[in-house]
Formats: sequence, structure tokens, C-alpha cells
Amino acid sequence: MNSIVKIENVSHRFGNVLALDNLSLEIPAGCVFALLGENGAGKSTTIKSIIGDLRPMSGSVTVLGAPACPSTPELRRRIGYIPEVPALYDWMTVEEIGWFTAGFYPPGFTERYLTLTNDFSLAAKQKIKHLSKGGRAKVALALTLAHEPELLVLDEPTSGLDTLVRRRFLESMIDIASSGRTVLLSSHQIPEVERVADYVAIIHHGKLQICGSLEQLKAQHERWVVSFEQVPAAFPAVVGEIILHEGQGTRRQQLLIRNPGPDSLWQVRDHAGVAEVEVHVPSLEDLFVAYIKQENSMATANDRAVNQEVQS
Amino acid sequence: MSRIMAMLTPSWRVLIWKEMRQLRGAVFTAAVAGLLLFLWMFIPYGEFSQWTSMIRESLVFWFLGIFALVGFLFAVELFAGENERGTVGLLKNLPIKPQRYALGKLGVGLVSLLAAMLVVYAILWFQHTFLVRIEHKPKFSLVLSLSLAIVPAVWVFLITSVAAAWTRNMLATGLIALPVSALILLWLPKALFGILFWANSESTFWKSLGESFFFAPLTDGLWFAPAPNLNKNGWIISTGAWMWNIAGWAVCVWLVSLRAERWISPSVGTRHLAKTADEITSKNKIAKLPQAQWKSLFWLAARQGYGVWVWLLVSALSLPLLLPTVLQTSKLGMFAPFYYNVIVLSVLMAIGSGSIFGNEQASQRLSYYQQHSVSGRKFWWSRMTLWLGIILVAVGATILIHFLLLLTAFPSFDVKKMISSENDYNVLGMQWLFRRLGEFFWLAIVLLAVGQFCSLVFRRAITAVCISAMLGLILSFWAISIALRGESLAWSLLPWGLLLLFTGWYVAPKWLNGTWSLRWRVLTVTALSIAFLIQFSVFASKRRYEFASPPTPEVVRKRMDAVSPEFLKDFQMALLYDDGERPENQDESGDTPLHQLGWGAVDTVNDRWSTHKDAVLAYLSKNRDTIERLKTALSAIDQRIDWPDEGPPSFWSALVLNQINALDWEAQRLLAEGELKESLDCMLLQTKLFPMLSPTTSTYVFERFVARMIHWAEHPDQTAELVSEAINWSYFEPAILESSRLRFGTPSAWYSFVQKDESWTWHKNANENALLKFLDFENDRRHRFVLQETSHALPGYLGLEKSGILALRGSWIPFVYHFSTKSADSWELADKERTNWRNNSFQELKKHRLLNTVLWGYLNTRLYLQSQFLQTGRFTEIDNHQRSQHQNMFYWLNLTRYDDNYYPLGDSFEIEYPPVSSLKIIDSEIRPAKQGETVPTIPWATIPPDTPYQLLPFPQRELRAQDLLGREQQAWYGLIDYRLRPNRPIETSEGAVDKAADELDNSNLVSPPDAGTKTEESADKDQ
Repeated sequence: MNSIVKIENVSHRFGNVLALDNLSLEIPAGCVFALLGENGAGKSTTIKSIIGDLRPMSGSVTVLGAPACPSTPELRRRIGYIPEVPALYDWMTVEEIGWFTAGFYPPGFTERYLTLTNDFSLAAKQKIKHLSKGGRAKVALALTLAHEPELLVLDEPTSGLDTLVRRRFLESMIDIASSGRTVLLSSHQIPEVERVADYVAIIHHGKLQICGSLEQLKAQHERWVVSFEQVPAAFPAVVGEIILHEGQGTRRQQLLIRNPGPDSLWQVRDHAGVAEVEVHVPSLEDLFVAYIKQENSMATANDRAVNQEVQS
Repeated sequence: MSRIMAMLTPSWRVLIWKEMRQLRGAVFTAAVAGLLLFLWMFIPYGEFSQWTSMIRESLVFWFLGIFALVGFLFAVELFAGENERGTVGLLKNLPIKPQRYALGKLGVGLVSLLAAMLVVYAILWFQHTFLVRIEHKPKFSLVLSLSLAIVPAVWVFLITSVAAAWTRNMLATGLIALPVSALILLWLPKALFGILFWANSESTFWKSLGESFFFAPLTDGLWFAPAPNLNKNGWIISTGAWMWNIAGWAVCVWLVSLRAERWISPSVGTRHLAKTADEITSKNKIAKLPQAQWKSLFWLAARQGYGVWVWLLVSALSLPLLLPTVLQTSKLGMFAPFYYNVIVLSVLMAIGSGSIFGNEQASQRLSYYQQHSVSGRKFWWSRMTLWLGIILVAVGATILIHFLLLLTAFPSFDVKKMISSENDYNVLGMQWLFRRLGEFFWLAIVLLAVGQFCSLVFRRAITAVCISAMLGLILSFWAISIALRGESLAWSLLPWGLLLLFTGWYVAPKWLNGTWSLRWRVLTVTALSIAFLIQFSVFASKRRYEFASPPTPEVVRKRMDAVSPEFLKDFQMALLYDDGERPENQDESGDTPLHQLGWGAVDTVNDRWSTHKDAVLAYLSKNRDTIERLKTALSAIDQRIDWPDEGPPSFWSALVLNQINALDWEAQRLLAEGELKESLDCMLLQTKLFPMLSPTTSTYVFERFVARMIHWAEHPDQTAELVSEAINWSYFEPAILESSRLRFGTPSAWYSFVQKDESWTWHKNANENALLKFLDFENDRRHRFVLQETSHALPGYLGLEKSGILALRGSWIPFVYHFSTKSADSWELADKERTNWRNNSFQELKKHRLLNTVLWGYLNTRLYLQSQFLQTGRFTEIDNHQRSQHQNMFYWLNLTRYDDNYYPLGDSFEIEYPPVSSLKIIDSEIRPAKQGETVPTIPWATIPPDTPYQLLPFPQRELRAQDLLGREQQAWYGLIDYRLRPNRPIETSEGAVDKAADELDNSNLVSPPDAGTKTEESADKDQ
């Protein structure tokens, strides 16, 4: 795989909080890569380490073949970054901020910027402080895209945007990726991300839970909804890694299984008391929830074990 | 401009464009307006047109402060503002090195500073008559002052830039940059002017300027000087307090700027800006706010860093007081601590009160309060109450610090005595201090009102802080000027105190409820601005006649009408009373606190005062029949001025300054009414109070005094009789005597006094001949008198070893040289010599200057030793200061002679005379004269006969000695004086000796002064 970003064994700590815990990740070129996780999972820290805004305590981050930190002007010229709250000069107009930013990039920036703002239906003479949140996001995106970065990093780019704008925004990511550039985005909008992402990584408590192409991840996992004729005494044994197993009422249970065995489904169906087994291809949200819950339950179990040891 | 822009690369071009746009005209305009406002307000107060040195010294100081503030604001706006607005992320992601945008910001900031200065130049140059009356040379000095002020401004700008880059918010930036800048700025001018001085030794201007900043502080004792008077406990207390202060400040900065920011004050810091209102409020645990508003609001306010503010205020306020305590206990300037306190108070109040509401808006918590229907008044009063508490703590701490200062800095300060004695000057001084602190408290409340009002009116915290800081400074200095006039601050500041109520009852609820429309905001601000301008215009117009020249009788009457009669009465009582005794027909009911203080003033300055009460009362009751009687009375007053070595405390200095100011006004009032003698009496009386001031203040007052007198001399049509009287009374001599004898005045003050033809250009333009005649510098005796008396200051400077040598080179030596090389034939010749020296042969004449200095200092010391010995028969009664004077002199002479390392002018110079080695011989030869003994040839006759130097007379000292010693001792002293007087031929002195001896015989007194030391019998025995 031709990796455009390579994160190797990166750890970082803010005080007592371990923000990144031996994280290793590779982002292939020419794709839309989604970084998913809860609040405080470590997404923004990962992004900051990629754009060179943060030097991790251990491990290495390589971006476009060069160390991410310290970030050189040459490297920054090849990276586009939009933070969750785009930093823009409110007092400038849409046109002025384009002219201002163009000063730092090779010729052609302004033309591309104006084309993009035109596409986004932004008025050139409008001051940025008078723009809506979506309008500001569009300006930030236009500024970032206008210099045609090889790597586009978006931290929660769609938060606060309305549905139409958000959808259009994310679709534009596909266009960018199709032109050979790489998009790294973090988001809470998992259904939206699912529509555009080629690759997905789920981070929880600074650890990488899963990472791979969305297609591959979906192929690896199955979501079963098992209905029982009566309240089951025990669930039949299943071959495969059960990521999530939870009840949906008294007679209905849901499983998310990774790499289920070829006969597993039949074994469950043939099990006494099982009325029906529905097999679904899990959505990205299913995967996300399953892995987060799995991690949380494991953490809880570990805590219990530790407590028992302490008590004994 | 466009051509320059075209020469730049695109990235530079856009960076500069952005910074210039971002700095905005408002900040720039505020800078220019602030500068002009300060000029307009304070130069009239400072009598700009009369005090040329004010332009060179004080004005530089003002500009320095103002420009530093402007530089600070520029840097905050450019750097910390970028952080706080969150736009620094955009810059950091641009594909350029960070140094480039930092440089861009610096460049634009500096250019803006320069541009602001140029605008002020232009206005002053073409429209200066609107602001000040400036003659040609002072105008040039003004421009230079402004130019010099740009240096510290740039320095502050750079410091603030660094602080802003390091911290994340404006508050932390200010907390770091302001104290660091202040500390550095104390030293920067010294280094700068020191360098300029050395590089431009020939230049009068640079010399004067260099001295002012580089050397004058040596005598001020404010910046660096040894602390000889601290005992062990004093050192422990002072050093402990100092360390506490520094550590406290460092901790506060750390807490506010770094990790503990969230913990200490959630209202500050950009990291909170991105949070939603709900997130922040949940962290603050104020979910129950509506149910228990008062409690929650107090809790919230306390959590928002008010504890830190208490510490900051106390630390900041105590800082200037502790600095001199540790570094120099002896001579606390009155102005420095008070000014620093006021500046710190106004700035911190502005930042604190300005940011507290501004941050609520910025951090979006305002909506939370609105959602929960928090009462605006409750919200505001909860904070106000806490702030008042903070002010109380700060005032209490300041009192405590002053108290510690007294304990540590003044060995004579006795707590038990202070408690037991009502008349002790410390008690009275403390009363004065409490009164001042009461006003200080009131001023703090007013500043708080202004700051909070601004923070509620203006949306951005930085705007609120800047405007409230500017208003706070103006109010503060205005308050100082009111206080210096001896008037109460309370009524003057009352309208601004009402602003507090207006803010609490009207603005705060409107603000919190979001119902204060833009239109009403603009209207309110406009109305208040007009009120502000009207009040200050009235104030300024009152002060502007200070520089009206000449003062017409109408103006003087107007001025006097403005002076509180109560104050004048108090002042006169203060001078009249002693030891708690009241004059007849004055009952206790008429006493005021100042009366009480006046008794203390009279009582405690010197115990001998009471013995001269009658003479002074006679003087003050205007029952003056003869000049002699007046002189006697003044001489009696003169005896009151023996302060101990530690010098007057600052509060005392302030009190005396009030009295001097009142005397000055009284003098002008009397002049306007044609009471010339009485007017001159008032002027003379001022001189008696000078030594009770701190050195800096006395310099300031003395310059005004001299300028006034010369001003009168220039208008003989108005004051011919006065001038005539002044000359007859040898007016200047006692003034100079008092000044020099008490080590008062800085080298530059003396220098400017002597360099009258340069420094007092406007006088020269008016009437040079009248001036020269008045000064009577063609009278050789007077020249020498001046020279002799000012040479008293010499050993004090020499005592500072190398620094003293620098000081000598700086100013005093040319003065000495001028007179000592003068052939006494004509003024023109001396002037020519001086011009030659200055223009053509400075290097050559260096040695003469040094030589002369050494010689005169040496002679003066020797005279002193002789007179001491002859009076007392021993040297044991030399007090510490005097002892250190002559010891330092010996020390320095020896070093000069034997150690080339201490000699500043190079190895090639050789001292031929004075005969240093003969000094001890001289000492050993001095002995009391005996009856009938022919006066021997005095040792200084060993000076080569071709030397132009002569021993100098002591005409004024003779008068003092008569008053001091009594009749029999006068006779003895007369003998001494006769023997020492060089301008009478030695050969003809026998008659006088006989006469003195006859007097002694006739009085049946055979002992010399210091009765018991020597008797006639013992003298005969010796013989």
C-alpha cells in the first residue's frame, strides 16, 4: 500500500490523560479516510500530530514522506487543513481572504479559489463575519482546496452544517479523492461518512480499534438478529469473534460477529428455540457502536477484576 | 506606497496588508489621541514653557510611559489578539516560516508607532500654540523627547510580543509583559542615556539628559544605591517581602497563563472560547444558579480568579514600595511609589474589571445567564461587592506595607513612641497616609466604575481594557494633581462615583437582558464622553494659566481664588504652631487634622524651633521692620531643617510639597496685589522647606522657584522693586546655600542653573541683560560663593566611587571649570573661554576640569575640617554624613593620585596640585587661635601662586553661626571667619583679630565655642 501518512507507535499524554496509546496507522494515497471516535477518543490529537501542530511523546509520524513535526513550509504547502472551527479573519471579505491566502501559494490559487467560491455560491464582496456557519465552512474549504493539496485534513468539517450543505460538502470529498488526492476527515456524522469514506479507522481511548477499507470491514462483519420462541436459557455457541452481543427485548438478541465461521449461521438456526435469524451487512454505525461497546465492557470487566484483586 | 508594495514578494505584501488592516485605525487614532490628550492635560500643569528641563527630563518620562503603553497595546492587538480570536491557526498553517509573520507583525507595529509619533510631531509643529507654548529650542527638545520615547515603546512592544507568543491570552500577556517591561525600562534609559552621554560628551543637551537618567538616580536613591541604614531585622523583613512579592507574581503569572488557567479562572483563556455555554457552566457547577442566585453568583465570581486578583493587586501595589526598601532605604522619593501605585491601580483595575464582563461575553456564558433569568443587578452587585472587598484588602495591604517600610527603612521610627505620643511626626505622618489611602480607596472605586462600565459597553474585552486603562490613567493623574493642591479628592471624583450606581442600576441589567440597543449604547457613551470632556476642559483651563507668561494680576487672583482658604489657613497654622501650643485667640475648636499635622511639622523637624518661635512669629506676623530682622527670622527657620541622614519619608515630602505649592500661589497672589516684600517672603520661605523634600521633588520645585524669580526679573516694569529688593537681600545666595548644603538637587539641576544662557533661552530672548544683572554674575564674590557652596555636593558624589566620577565628568565639573577659570574681569571673557572649551578643546580641558573639581572639593573639605576643629577643638562631632564626605574625599584623592585605574581620563594626566600629601600636615597644623597670636600663614598658601584659585568666604555661614552659637561664640567664630577669609589680605588681618579678641575680653568669656572644650586657661597652657 502506498501510504501517504504513516503513524507508528505514537503515544501522547496530556497530564494524566493518555490521549494516544501506541497508535499505529497508515493512510493510503488517493482515498477518503475517516477517523471515527467518541469525544476525547484522540481524533484531534491524531490530526494535530499529522499536521505537525503537536509533537507526540513517542513514536513517529510521517506525512508525504517527511516527518510531520517540525512542519516545514514545503510540507504545509502540500497539506490542506480545516479545523472544526475554521480560523478566518472576520473583517475580511470572501474575496480578500482569498487574495490574502494566495500570497503564500504559487500562481493559480486565486483563480481556483474564485471558481470554488462561485461553485459554493459565495458572494465575493461579503464579509466573513456576515456569513453563516455553512458559508464559513465553504470559505475554509475553498481556501484549502484552492492550492490543491495532496493531503486534505478535515477535523469535524460538517459539524453545524445543515443537511444539504453537509451532503454536498462530503460529496466533494469523493471528487477530490478521485483526482488522486487524499482526504483525512474526522467526524461524528457516521452515516454521512459512510457514504463517502473509502477507509475507516475507529479510535477509542487513544487506541486503534479497527482500521481498513469500509468495503473490507463490511465483508468481515455480519450482524445477526436472532429471534427466540421463548426466553432463551443460553445462547448457542458461535464460531467467530463476537464483537457485540446484546438483547433487544426478552426474545430477541443482536450479534455483531467478525469473520463468522461458515457453519455458524446454520448452527444457530438449528438451535432449539431459535425462531429466526436475520443476517445483515452491518452499517458503519453498527461497527462503530459495537467496537466502542466492546471496548467499554472490556474496560469495565478489567476494572472489576482489579477491584476484586484489591479486595481479596 | 504602491511602489514599495510592488517591490515586496506576494507573501510579504499580503502579510503587511493584513497587519495594517487588522491594526485598524481605531487603535492608531487612540494612540495619537492619547498622546495629544496627555500633552494637553499635563503640560500646562507642568508649566511647560517655563521649565525647559521638564521637556528634557519629565516629558521624556511621560512620553516614555505613554508610548510604552501604546507599544503594549499594539503588541497585544497584533499577537495576543490573534491568539484570542483563534485566528492564529490560520497563520500557523500558512506555508511560511513563523518568523516571517512575526516579523511582519513587528514591522507593521513599529511603523505604526512611528507613524503615530509623526502625526503628533506634525500637530505639535504646526499647531503647537493650541497645546503648549513652545519656543524654538524647546520645540526641538520636544521632538527629541518624543523620539527617545519611541525606544522604550519599541522595547515594550517586543517584550509584549514575546509574552504574547508564549501565552495564550491577553490577560496573561499583560501580566507578564507589564511588570517585565517596567523593570527593564527602569534600566534601559540608564544604559541608553549613558551611552549617548559618553558618545556626545560635548553636547550640553545630551549631557543634561544623560545625567538626568544616568546619574540623577544615584542621588535619588530610587533605583540603585546601597542601603546603609537597614538593620538586620530590616533586611530580613525587606528581603522576605521582596521574595514573597516576586514569588507571588511568578505564581500568579504561571497560574493564569499556563496549566492552571482552567482551574483558576475559567473566564480567561482562549481554550474556553470554543466551548459551548452549557459545557462551561456544567464545569462551573452553577446549574442551581436560579435557585440560589446570590450564593451561586458569589461562588462563581470567587471561582473566576478573584483570589488571584487580590494577590496581584497587593503584589503590584507593594512592588514599588518594596523596591526602594531593599535597594535604598534612605531617600524615598515621594512621587515614584505614588505614581507607580496609581498606574498599577489604574491598569490592573482596567484589566480586571474590564475583562470580567468582557470575558463573560466572549466565552458565551452571557446567554446562559440570560436563559436562567439571572437578575442583572444581582449579577453586577455580586461582582462589585467582591471587587470592593479586593480594593479594601489592597488598601489594607498598602497600609501594612507602608508600616513595614517605616519599621525597616527608618531606624528612628519607634512604634512605642508612635503609640504613646500624639505629636510624633510618625503618627501625624501615618494620619496623613491614612487620609491619602482613603482617597486612594475612593479613586480605586471610581476606576472600578469606569472599568466595569467600559466592559459592559464595549463588546470586546481588549477594547474595554484599553479604553478603561486610558481613562483610568487620566483620572489617576488628575487625582494626583488635585491631591497635590491639598484639596480633597472626594468631591472632585464624586461624579465618576455616580457612574458606579448608573452602571449597577441601569447598564448591567440592560446588558444582561440583552435589551441595551446599539442606539442607547451610543447615546450613553456620547453623553458621558461629553461630560468627561467638559469636566476635564474646565480642569485643564484652570491649570493652563500655570504657563501663562507673565502671570497677570487677574490670573493670579483667579488662581488664588481657586485655592481653598481653609488650606491656606491650615498651612499658615502649620508654620506657626509648635509643640501643640496655640497662639492667642485660637481655641481648640478651630483645629483641623492639618492643624494637628502642622504642629507636628513644626515640632518635630527640629527641637530648636521652639527657641526661635518669637522670631518666626514676628516674621510671619509681618512685623518686619528691617531686613536684618527678616534675615534673623529666616535663619531661625533655617535651623529646623536638620533631617537625619535617612531623609524625609515620602508622605512627609508630599505634605511639604503641598505647603510649598501654597506658598508659591500665595507669593503670586501677593505680587499681584503689589505686596512685593511679602511676596518675596513667601518665595524665601519656600527655600526653607526645600530640604524637607525628597531630592527628586526638591529639584523639581527648585527649578520652578528659580524660573519664577527670573521671570520676575525679566519684567522689571511689574517687579522692579522686587528685583531690587531681591538683589539687596542677596536673594539667591540663601537659596543656593540651602540647596547645596543639604545635598539637594541633582547635577543636572545645578548645571541648568549655571548654563542659563543655553537652558533658559526664552528668558534670554526676553531680556538677557536683566537676567544677567539680576543674577549678578559679574560680581566675582558671588561667583565664588556659588562655587563654594555647590562644592559641598562634591564629596557626596565622590562617595559613589566610579559612578561619582562619572557624575563629576557629566555636569558638575564644567560648572566648576567655568567659574574657576574665569578671570573675574568680565563675563564676556569667561563666556568665550567656555565656548572654546566646549567647541574646540574639550579633551584638552578635561584635565583642567577634573583638576578644578578636585581642588575645590579638596579646599572645601579642608575648610570644613578647619572650621570644625577651630570651633570644637576636635573632629569627633562630625556626623556620619559629614564624616563620610571627607573620608570619601581623602579616599578619592588618594586613589586619583596613586591608582591610575581609578583615574578616568587616561594615564597621561598628572596631578600637580593640590598638594594632596600635605592635607594631613595641614590638619595637624590647624589649631585654635590664641589671644594675641598673630595669625600664621595658612597652609593653603602652599598652592602655587600662579593658580587662579582662592579660598572662598563664608558670608552666609557667618550669619548662621551667629544665630547658632550666641554672642560669645559669635565673637569666636568671627575670629575664625576672619582667619579663614581669603579675600582679605592676611597681612591686614591683625586688626580684626585684635577686635575679636577685645570682644572676647569685654564679654568676659574666655572659652571658644562648644563651651567646656577650651578655656582661656587651657589655651594659655597650650601656648
